[in-house]
Amino acid sequence: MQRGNTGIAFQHQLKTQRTRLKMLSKEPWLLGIIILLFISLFLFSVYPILQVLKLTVYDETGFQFDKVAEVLNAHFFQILWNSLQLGILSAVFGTAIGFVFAFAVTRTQMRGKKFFHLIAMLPIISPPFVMALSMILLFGRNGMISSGLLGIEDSDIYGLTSLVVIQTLGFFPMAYLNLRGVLESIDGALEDASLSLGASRWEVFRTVTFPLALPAIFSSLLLVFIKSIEDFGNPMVIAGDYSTLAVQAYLEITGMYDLKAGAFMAVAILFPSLLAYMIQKYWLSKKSFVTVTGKPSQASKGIGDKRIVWPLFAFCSLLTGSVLLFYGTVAWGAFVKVWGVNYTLTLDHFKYIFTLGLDSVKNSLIMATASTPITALLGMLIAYLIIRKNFVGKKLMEFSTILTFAVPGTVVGIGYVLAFNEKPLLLTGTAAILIIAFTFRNMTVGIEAGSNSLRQVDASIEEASTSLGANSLTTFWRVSLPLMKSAMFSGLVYSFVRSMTSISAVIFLVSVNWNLMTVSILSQVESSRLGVAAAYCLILIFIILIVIGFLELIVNRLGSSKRGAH
Amino acid sequence: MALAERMEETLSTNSSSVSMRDLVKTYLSAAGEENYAVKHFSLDIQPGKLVTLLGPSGCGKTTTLRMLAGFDIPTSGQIRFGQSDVTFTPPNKRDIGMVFQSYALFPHLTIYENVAYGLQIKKVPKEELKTRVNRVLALMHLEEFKDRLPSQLSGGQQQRVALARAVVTEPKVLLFDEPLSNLDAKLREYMRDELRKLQQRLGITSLYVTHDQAEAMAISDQVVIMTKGVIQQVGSPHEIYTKPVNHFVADFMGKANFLTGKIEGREKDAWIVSLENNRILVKVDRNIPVQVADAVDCVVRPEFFTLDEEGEFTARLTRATYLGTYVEYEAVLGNQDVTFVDYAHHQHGWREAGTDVKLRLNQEAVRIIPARS
Repeated sequence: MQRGNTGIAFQHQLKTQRTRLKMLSKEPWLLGIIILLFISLFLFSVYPILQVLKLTVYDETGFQFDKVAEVLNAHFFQILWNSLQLGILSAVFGTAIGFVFAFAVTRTQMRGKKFFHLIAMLPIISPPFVMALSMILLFGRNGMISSGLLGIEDSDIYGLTSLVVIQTLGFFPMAYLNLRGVLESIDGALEDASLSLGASRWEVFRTVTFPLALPAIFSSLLLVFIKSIEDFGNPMVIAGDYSTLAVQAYLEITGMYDLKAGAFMAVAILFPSLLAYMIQKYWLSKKSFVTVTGKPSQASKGIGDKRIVWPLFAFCSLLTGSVLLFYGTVAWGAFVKVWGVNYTLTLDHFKYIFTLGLDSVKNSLIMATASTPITALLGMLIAYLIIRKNFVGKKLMEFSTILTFAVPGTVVGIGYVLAFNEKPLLLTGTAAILIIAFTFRNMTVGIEAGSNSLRQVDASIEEASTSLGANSLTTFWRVSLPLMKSAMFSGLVYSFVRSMTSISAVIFLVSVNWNLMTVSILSQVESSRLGVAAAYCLILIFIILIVIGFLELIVNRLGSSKRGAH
Repeated sequence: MALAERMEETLSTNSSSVSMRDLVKTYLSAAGEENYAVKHFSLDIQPGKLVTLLGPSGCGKTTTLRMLAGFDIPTSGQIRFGQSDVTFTPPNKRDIGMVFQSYALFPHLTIYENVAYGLQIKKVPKEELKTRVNRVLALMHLEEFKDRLPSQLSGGQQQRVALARAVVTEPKVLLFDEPLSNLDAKLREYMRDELRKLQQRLGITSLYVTHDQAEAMAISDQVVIMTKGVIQQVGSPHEIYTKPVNHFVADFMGKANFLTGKIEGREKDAWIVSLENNRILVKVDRNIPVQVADAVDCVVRPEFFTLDEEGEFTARLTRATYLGTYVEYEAVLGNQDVTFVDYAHHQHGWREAGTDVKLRLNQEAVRIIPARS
């Protein structure tokens, strides 16, 4: 019986796929685009990662297991443990803080919510190691607090504690955003129902709110964990002797020219983070209790009890205060002569950048500007194909698009170096490799946003377009894309911000001709020109804010320009 | 409203016949079995006629419509528009017009742009496009809304835009997917009549899907009753109501009592059927496979009974419901439950439950179908 069923099922599938292929062949443009997407996804998402995996066990002479044993020594396991420990600590602290923050912002009548939200966005739109830089400025040997206020000499801030503090401050906004969406959508009527049954505020929280948010709490833990173990910028600046995988992989490759050891380190980040990502995406997302009904529930005013609101307010103030302190320090650092020694205001650091270091600013802008529209448009197109079209290998396409996103930047960087180092795919050292890396790494968010917004659109709207004679591509361009406007916007913003601020992948791909801002900042920090590094950071954040504003303007324009032309 | 009359001058027709041959659509169930959404479906639609697919939800009517539109491809079978085989033609090459249940207006385009869309895709020259769109908008009384967005219109207005958008391209076939189900009852009846007038004047071949039998009766040249993917009966609304071929059709199209009887014999072209101590004569219908001595079910519509002192049946009333236009009675006839209605309650007054009444049966109207096994 079972066998008979599988046989029927298989035949049915075969026939369905054949029909799909036949129908697809009637739209040669669409078919062409799908094939092209498959080829490029394989080439730029899958193939580089396979190269890294291959290198760990294989070289010119064949399988090399003795070399594997050599790499897998106590030193390696120490580093692996370091990374995991850091990841776990940051995940726990980041999520806990993010939860309290999200709870205060969504479920209470606390004042200043907008302000708190805005400040929490700062770490998200700035390069990862601003925090680390600021840590040095505040608590380092010449730190304003450590030596300036407290008079401690030889303050040593390099190590695990600093890393955890920095990552917690830098990554809690991610947990906050993730939890905020869920806490916001918990129907206030549920809590009211619990209260009406006689539960106290605390009991309501313990029995209703918290359990409903639990899946999101787990997914936040995993997200911050991934972010933490693949973080390159912060540990590079401030880890000191506390080696982590991402940094060690880089040092092995660029310092000791040991590609194999580097690949090993990279793969060691790959597995835990890929696993965490998959659990998060495929398991936890299904556990979500929150249902989107599309029916606006009676907006509940939230908790007004002063005994609850005031402590939360104090907590949020303290947190945003710290974030502001860190960013303010960098801003100030950009304008003083020699931090810790001479606090005279000056524009020297900016002059230095504008005379000697403007190339990397320009390059970063060019790369980000080139890749952003491609990324966002491709993201929308793939979302459309995945949600609305049926074709063989759709699942495979979906999987490969999340691959470069879920895979740590270090792995992608090494993979690209390995994959595109020879003809006919000689891309290393060019601008193209950077643009491609940005595009394929940042596409996922656009795809997710696009898919979500398309799912809200009645499919018959697109069918109406088809029935009126439009083919799939025309329908995408004239109907679906305009309806995905807000997703397009988040895709654009995200990909621009990530292109401007990322470092872990591109540090392997930059070259003399094509250096990027984040890499420049890092090298300024390494050569102790902290003022210049701070000035760079400030310019970077400034550029990002301007571009976000500009993008918002364009996208809003796009939607309203087609009005009343007749 | 002279909408339909003026429409005639505005649009020329381009309509073709439709033929569906042995259409099968299967899908894979969760258990890995092949299930039929539509099973061996054959139907011809003459040019300019409106045919309705009527059936409960899940009967395969929407799947059939979607196969005709090209959104679903049949597992086997053939679809022809006129002489050309369109079974594997993509929807955008079929030259159809479709009115969707949700209207599916483009929310980001104005009413004008919505209606113009199909003509733009067909690359109709600018001037011609403008005149055609404006003419259709005028006919549909939508001129004043042309620069508005769909969300700023009422349900009835949106419905008119959807119709305007579907006919402006002068399609070969017009498809309706429960287009009126989102309107309130009054508006639904009004739009139903407008739609029928328009379709008749334009003479566009149309396939209309609905689960509302009153709607189907009011607008169709032919009705196709479906259940579980299989056609039960095809005929004019009158044929289907008066000559149902099985329990499903009789029950779905209006109300029906199924009274068990037995064929005693035959007298010329009529069966002699014994029914609760009476003999009635029922015309022989060759489509109904019965013979002498068979147990049969007599299809008796509630209005076939009338209260009459001279009536041949005696029944005991169990319940009376006053509904204004008529009184609906439930009663026991022999040992069978029946429902009947009395439109003349003004003369008869109304009877209490528990009393016995005499009923006369309009024997001419009764049909027999094989008893349920």
